[in-house]
Amino acid sequence: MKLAEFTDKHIAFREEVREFARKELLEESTQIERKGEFPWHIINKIKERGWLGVNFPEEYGGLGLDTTSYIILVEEIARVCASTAIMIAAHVSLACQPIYVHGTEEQKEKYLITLARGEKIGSFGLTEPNAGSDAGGTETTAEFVGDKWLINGSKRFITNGTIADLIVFTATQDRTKKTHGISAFIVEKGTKGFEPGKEEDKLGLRGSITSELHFEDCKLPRENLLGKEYEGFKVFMETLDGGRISIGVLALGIAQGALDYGIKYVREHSVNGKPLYKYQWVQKIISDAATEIMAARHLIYHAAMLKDRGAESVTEEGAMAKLFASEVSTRVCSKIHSIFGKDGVTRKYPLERFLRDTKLMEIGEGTSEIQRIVISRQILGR
Amino acid sequence: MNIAVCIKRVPETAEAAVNIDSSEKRIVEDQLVFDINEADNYALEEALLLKEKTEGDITLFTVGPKEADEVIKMGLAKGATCGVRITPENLDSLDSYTIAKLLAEPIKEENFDLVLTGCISSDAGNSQVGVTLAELLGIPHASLVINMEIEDDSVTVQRELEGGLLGELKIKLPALFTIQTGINEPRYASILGIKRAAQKEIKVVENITVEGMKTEIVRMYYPPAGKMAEILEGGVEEVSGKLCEILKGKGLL
Amino acid sequence: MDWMGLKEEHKLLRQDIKRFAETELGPQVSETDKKGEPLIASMKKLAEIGGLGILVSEEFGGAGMDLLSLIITLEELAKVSPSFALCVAIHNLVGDTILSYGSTELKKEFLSSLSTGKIIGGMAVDTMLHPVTSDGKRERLIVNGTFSDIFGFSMEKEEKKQFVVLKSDKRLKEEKEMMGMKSSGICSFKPNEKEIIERNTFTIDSPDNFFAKMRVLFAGVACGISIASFGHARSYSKERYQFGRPIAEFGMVRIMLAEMASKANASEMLVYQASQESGILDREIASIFAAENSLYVTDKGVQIYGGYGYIKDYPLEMFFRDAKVLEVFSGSVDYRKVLIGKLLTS
Repeated sequence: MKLAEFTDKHIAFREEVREFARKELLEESTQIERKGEFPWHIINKIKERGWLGVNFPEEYGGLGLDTTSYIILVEEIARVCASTAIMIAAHVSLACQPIYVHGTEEQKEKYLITLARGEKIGSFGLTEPNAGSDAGGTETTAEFVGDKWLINGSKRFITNGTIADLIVFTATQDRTKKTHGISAFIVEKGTKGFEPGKEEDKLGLRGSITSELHFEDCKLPRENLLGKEYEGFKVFMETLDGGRISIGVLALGIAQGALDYGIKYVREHSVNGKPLYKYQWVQKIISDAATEIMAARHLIYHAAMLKDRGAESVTEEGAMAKLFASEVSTRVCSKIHSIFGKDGVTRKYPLERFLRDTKLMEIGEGTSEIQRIVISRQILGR
Repeated sequence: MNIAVCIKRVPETAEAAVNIDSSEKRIVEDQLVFDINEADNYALEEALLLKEKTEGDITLFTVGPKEADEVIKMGLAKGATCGVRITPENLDSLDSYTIAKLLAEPIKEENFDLVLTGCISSDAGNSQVGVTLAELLGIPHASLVINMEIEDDSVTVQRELEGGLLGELKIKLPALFTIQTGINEPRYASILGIKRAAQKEIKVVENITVEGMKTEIVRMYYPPAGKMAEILEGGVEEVSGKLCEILKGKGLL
Repeated sequence: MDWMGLKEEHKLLRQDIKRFAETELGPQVSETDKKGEPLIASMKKLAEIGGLGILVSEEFGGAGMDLLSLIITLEELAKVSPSFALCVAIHNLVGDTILSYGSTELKKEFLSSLSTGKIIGGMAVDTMLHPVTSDGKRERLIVNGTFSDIFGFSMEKEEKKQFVVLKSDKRLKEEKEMMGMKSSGICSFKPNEKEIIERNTFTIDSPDNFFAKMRVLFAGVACGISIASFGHARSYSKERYQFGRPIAEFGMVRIMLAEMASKANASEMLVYQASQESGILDREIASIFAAENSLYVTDKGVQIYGGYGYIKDYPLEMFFRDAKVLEVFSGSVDYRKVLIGKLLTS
């Protein structure tokens, strides 16, 4: 499928990733999800190509490509294996990105370079048991005692939680100030008082890791504050502006992957001697899916390209892209799934995995309902 | 052995939101689900077990609205012989004494060897109907019974007392026992039993008015939040977290 | 919601099965779903109260109740364990199929053992697509397969729909990895022409009726899934606090709940009604409506639970998967809509 705005470089990069996904990931993708084990060997291959820092300047260990290229990367990987794609998305857009945007030069030197090179894996800790949609309700506390930050509290549903070497997270310095009491910090694996907790047993994305994080009198050096004090809300809101496009493109990739399988299946199978693709009910499902996917693709790449052109904010465009793409993907996966009959529900075909995987996209990094609130605020004001 | 079992249809309020109506004397029943009172279900099961061991009939009695037929029918489906529903005109204003009085009339007419009731109703929670009924019938009783052994014309029962203490009594029949929950494992009705029970007639006593109420509900209300009490708000996890912190703060945890 | 056509026996049955499901299935459902284990002991326990021969006449050890009774039973079981409800649906259907179409000998041989749960029956679910595998055989999915004593499947023979009953053997023991309905002992099976003996084969005179009945039973399971999913989501929305209040107070959550409730209730009414009508069209419409809406309701249920809807600690995750499998078992909704359109215009 063509997108009018793609440059030759984008197209070449897409071909490269696509080739990689086909060769290295396709066959293994079902096993990755079924075993529920993190695919280190795949991640190492991705790391070797520099893709874990695809959109960061070379001086910070990245490849120096643009946001659009990063979005292309996630789409092509998600099209084959969403578990791998979400790991990359969390690493790049939720860990590297806030350090790149809000970090001091020292922090970038110290953390971003190793992250972008893929030598370390990053993660982002925002959600808590009682602070989901309401991130302002953060209960993890940060207190400045002596010359250190004292952190106490728990995080939940953290992608890459147990495998991350470094986690950007939020904590409140003053609960009464709600969103204005929150600050952002960086914690490294192995820090005393910090312990990743239980891994979740999930509906889908079972090859990726989602876990709890626990802080108990965890002491962090003064310089581990990311951004300014009390401005953590700004840090994560800006992070999520970009993160939404990532989740949107994950959904898009999954939907495209489902459609790929659907097209193959209806060409190869017949009912009562007539090939499936010659039935109108099948044509309707395939054409609706392709159209909706195309519309989602436009929204997503529009948001990504706006960012590349230096737009001040992509809040509205990102939220719209994520909302639309995630709902489209659930619909597309479910519909294509139904063409497969019983082949759709046994693990013989990956269709059932696509449906289980994509449902998270309507929930993670802001539910569809939250996206609607974000969009309406952009349009109507607070 | 002929056994009478008194059962009651009650709303399931353990997990439902209970609202009080404008009269302040009753709860709003619209959204509630009804079932047999839990303790009565154990009393019924005890009777069914006895019937399996000895010959005889089980007659079910309930005081309640027409909908109470449901609990009688379920009892019939499980194996009770017949059922009587008593619906006086002034059903809404009954107290424990008048309910016992209504039950005593028909029960007195037949010679039951044993009368069983639940030890407490989950809605009113008075624990009075059973024992009052025994007085009105002029027969001995034991409350909170957790085990029964029948020998000819007497029964040995264990009663559950405070502090884990048990009491064992030998009581001459006829007698009345109020049955504690957990004494047995109530059965499910068989589907065939349900099919048969649905066809059975229930004897109905109505168009009567009972007099002699001794107590009256003045009002029902939720207690106002006391000054010393702090109401924790939030979800389960949030509330339990807050509670732990308070307890920790007071050195209790 | 109480439907006007419910008789006293239906209400009693609902109460009885509800208690059974909550007490017997409730404590084990999450673990057995994770492990993919069928609840065989509970099936035997249900047999004790007559739940395995609901449609079979008393003469053959059954309860001789109507289709609505079976649907209510399945609905109540599905509210706790859709997998278990599917097992019960299929077992009852095996008995009913033998009763309706089988020979006197077959009835004598199997019916009372099936009704009393002495033996368990499995059956192939006929989805709309039957891809032919590389060895040229049609692979069938047998519900209850891994633990059944006998199983049945339908096949075309001389342009007639035949139903074959076979004794289960070790070929059926291997469980198929499924997306949902993991406690239904589902396995695959490829019929071998040689083993099909005349004595165990009979013709289904009205295949459309047979399939419509299977689907309306699945629809009963779908209704149970919808109603339970709505109930869980409603309770959760009242308990879950965000932005200082229960999420039930937010307009968008309320819209979802309203849509879930209307779809769940409408499905139930339609399925109940269809159980009383013998027309194929009524049953097809009801079952497609219930299947499609159960997808919607479970999807929105997960949505209301948010992150907690995506993990196995809460029930919506299972309902979401089970609803999808069930939908496919009755055939792709769009394909079936084409057939309904055909019926409506013929």
